[in-house]
Amino acid sequence: MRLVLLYSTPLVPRPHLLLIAMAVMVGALLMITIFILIYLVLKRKRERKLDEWRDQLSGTLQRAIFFEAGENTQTAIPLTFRTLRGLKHPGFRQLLIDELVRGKKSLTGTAATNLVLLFNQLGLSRLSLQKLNNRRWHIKARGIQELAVMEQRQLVTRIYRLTNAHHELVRMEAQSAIVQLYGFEGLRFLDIIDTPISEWQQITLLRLLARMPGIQPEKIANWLGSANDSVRIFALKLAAEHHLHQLHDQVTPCLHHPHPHVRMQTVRCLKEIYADATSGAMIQVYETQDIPCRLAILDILGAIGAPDNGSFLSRQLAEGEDMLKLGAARALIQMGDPGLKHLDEFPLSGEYPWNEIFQQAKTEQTA
Amino acid sequence: MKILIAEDEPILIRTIEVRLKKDGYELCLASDGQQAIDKIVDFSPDMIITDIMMPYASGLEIISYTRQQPGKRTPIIILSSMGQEDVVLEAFKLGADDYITKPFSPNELSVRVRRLLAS
Repeated sequence: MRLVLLYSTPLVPRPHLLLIAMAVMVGALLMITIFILIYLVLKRKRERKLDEWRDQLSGTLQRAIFFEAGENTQTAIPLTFRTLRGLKHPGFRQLLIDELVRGKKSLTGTAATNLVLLFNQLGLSRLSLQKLNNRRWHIKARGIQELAVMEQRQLVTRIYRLTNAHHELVRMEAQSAIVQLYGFEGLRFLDIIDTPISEWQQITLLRLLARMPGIQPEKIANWLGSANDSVRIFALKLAAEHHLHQLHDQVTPCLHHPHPHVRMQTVRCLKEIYADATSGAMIQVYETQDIPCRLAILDILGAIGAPDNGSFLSRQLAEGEDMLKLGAARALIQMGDPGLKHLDEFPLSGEYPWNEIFQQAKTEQTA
Repeated sequence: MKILIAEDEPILIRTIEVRLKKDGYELCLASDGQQAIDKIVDFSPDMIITDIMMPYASGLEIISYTRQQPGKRTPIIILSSMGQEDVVLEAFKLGADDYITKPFSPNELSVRVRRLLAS
């Protein structure tokens, strides 16, 4: 009974418990404060060290950038004793790699070549290579980037293995690195990858390839038959980007592909490489496509502007959804006079919704 | 001849500094856009070399500010990155005189500076 009373009465004064609670709180606050202070001191110390190293490296990097090989019979970039001593510290080495990579990305010509020379002279590729074995993906990706920027072509096999890596970002970095190092030839990883290439990665690769010569249409033709849909889509983008008209006959069968994204990309690709047979092939598959793809086909038929397309487009004005009617009207207007003639001759042109649709399509054209 | 360089990448600003000092120019360095704007009046440069993307104020703001100043027309070279064509066009609209795309060679920059100052 006494026990029950003791624990069920909340207002029994117990000052010693309050004191204990306060002491614990103050202790915890003190510990947190000490922890924050130690952290800030260490951070500041590290920042000061980095600034000191940066100053030290600045001179070394400038000597490298403006180094002229053969000057005073020197073939290696001269380094100060302080730099050589600093290289024993892993943090200093990493900072040097970071600065070299940053410099290499911003400079070209002899300056860039000299930065690579310094990277090689100090054997820094070994450190970047070690990162490839690290289990953390971001370190692995960093290593790949360092090797690619510093043009370490001799290590291509190690990077190539990672083009089909499990982690998407490692894979993306490795694929970009290979293309950076070998241009179009580097795309041979498309023969083996079974993982999808993201839209973003496709844009990155296309951007890298835009500045490089050596496009091989026969390779692209092979990728058009890939079992990996994203490889097929990427091949279609390459064919379109480089206007590879010779691939028209290999591209057209992709209109029958089961994946709607592949079909859509095929239509977009055919817009860039169309031939006499393009309109017929697209009209043939039109009914089996989904609405976005049909709209794309209508647009391309208008752009091609063959006389037979006019009667097909005119038929589409009478069928389907309003969106498709508008697509057909736009395409006819795009065709110019022959298309406009079809619009004028359309029997329901004065009735709703056609009057509104035609008006909208004409207004868009004049805008 | 006095040149103001606005660039936030330490290795790049130092490289430009070393190269242009070798050519005999007097230089003033700014590591962000606001610093550059603050220095324009005091330093009164004969030329400005500016990056586009910088903290606190962009290269475009530097161009606008420079063009609003009365007196001599200071030539401006902008340092742009790949894929910044739209920004370059905007810079020209605002009054930039030349541009150089990163990555670039320090020697190429030196030639462009000399040519622009001569013209």
